[in-house]
Amino acid sequence: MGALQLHPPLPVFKHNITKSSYKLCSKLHLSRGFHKHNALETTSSTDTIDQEEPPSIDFGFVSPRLLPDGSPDVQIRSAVGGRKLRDIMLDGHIDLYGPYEKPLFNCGGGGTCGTCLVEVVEGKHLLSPRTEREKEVLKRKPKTWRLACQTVVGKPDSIGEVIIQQLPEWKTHEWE
Amino acid sequence: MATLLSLHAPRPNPHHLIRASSSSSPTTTTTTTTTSTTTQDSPQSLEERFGRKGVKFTESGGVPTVELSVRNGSSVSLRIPDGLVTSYKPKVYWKEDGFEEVLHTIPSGLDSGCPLKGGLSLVLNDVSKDGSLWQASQWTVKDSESDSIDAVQVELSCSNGDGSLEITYVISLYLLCMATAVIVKNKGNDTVKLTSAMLSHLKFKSRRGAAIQGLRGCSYCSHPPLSSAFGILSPAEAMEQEPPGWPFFNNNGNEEKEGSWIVEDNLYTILRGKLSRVYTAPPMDRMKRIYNTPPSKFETIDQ
Repeated sequence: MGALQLHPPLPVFKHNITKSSYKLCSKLHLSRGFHKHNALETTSSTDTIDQEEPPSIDFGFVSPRLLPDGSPDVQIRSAVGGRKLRDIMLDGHIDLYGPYEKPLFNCGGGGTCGTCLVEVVEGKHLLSPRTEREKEVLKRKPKTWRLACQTVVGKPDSIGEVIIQQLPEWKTHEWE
Repeated sequence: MATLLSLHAPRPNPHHLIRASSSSSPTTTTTTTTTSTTTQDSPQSLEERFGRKGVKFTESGGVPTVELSVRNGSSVSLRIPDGLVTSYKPKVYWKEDGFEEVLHTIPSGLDSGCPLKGGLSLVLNDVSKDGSLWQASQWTVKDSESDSIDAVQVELSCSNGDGSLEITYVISLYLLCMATAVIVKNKGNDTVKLTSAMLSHLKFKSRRGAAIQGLRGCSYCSHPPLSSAFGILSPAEAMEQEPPGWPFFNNNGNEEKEGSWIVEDNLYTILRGKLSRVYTAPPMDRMKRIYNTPPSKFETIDQ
């Protein structure tokens, strides 16, 4: 059976496609209208936090490839804290495994295969610290990288913002 | 109405415009007849000014067309005054030395105007003033670019009556895909309200094997496409339910009423039954502080 799948091209007019760096916060907030909730602020922000909305964490998932006009390809999700990052991403239909999505190509959340890599761009304070398994698997990787199946995001009453870079091995840009 | 192919177009960068500086001056007006208002150039003069390796200007049925081609033999054919892409034939790996036509065109049966319907066309309407609808229709070549092996590009431009809207339509061809980009500049003083669509008519091998992957989790609702002279189905025809001779395929018909939003559950959106939908975040959701954004990438599967 022939599946007609058209792949995006490698960057062609090469003079513009060197790695671009991003001042991430301002860019994402401006483009999506996030209202920044910071779990550490206690003083004046109580007026701005919507009392009727149940506590939830805002997520921005950034794709490894930029959009054709050069801006980051961000998917916004909202989830209650206390769950593993892997579950939040799979429930939100975010591409976590990339080419390793097929059955038997990943360990399904066991923490052994190392294919559910993500890079934490913002929101590190909401995430649980690296487990021993993660430290073993991610020994040679940058400090911001995590295994999504081992990372728990906050508690059920957490409020905050987390920005995650999907498939960091394939990304074409850098974060400042 | 969602675009079926998600592609990466080159960024609109000033390099394209810099190369055109010599030809953007109004030498495009034909010097002979002063009565005609449309500025159509002959294929020879277009070839002289914009011809490059892989970009060839010819005439087909009396209408200037441009043929883009790249090293592996993939080609795109575009009618210039209509801005209609009539053919895209990429090199495919399942045929030895073979190319497969991706776009579907049919004769329109009209004596005047464009003899074809289908293909890939841009619909861009200015709906700012009630009653007078302006549609982008007369295109002229503005620039072309080629890196002589892997990628070629042609830019068409169009402007409305009083020059307040400047539209550039960039069609690019790469080794494994083609891409389009549209840049609209508002040069006037008033705000402009536009409706637009890329009408793509694709050929599939069979209804049963046609599907789209990547829309799971996104909300959709029934919605007619924009009307266009190049559309094979009019908006009303697209929204019509299929006759109940296909009861097993048209299982969506009862659930979808115009205006009701449903979240796509399936990994593959199978195109067996006739459907006309828009996939996006519902307007009520967009009023909330935070909502799930619709997917930016999806694949079309043809078995």
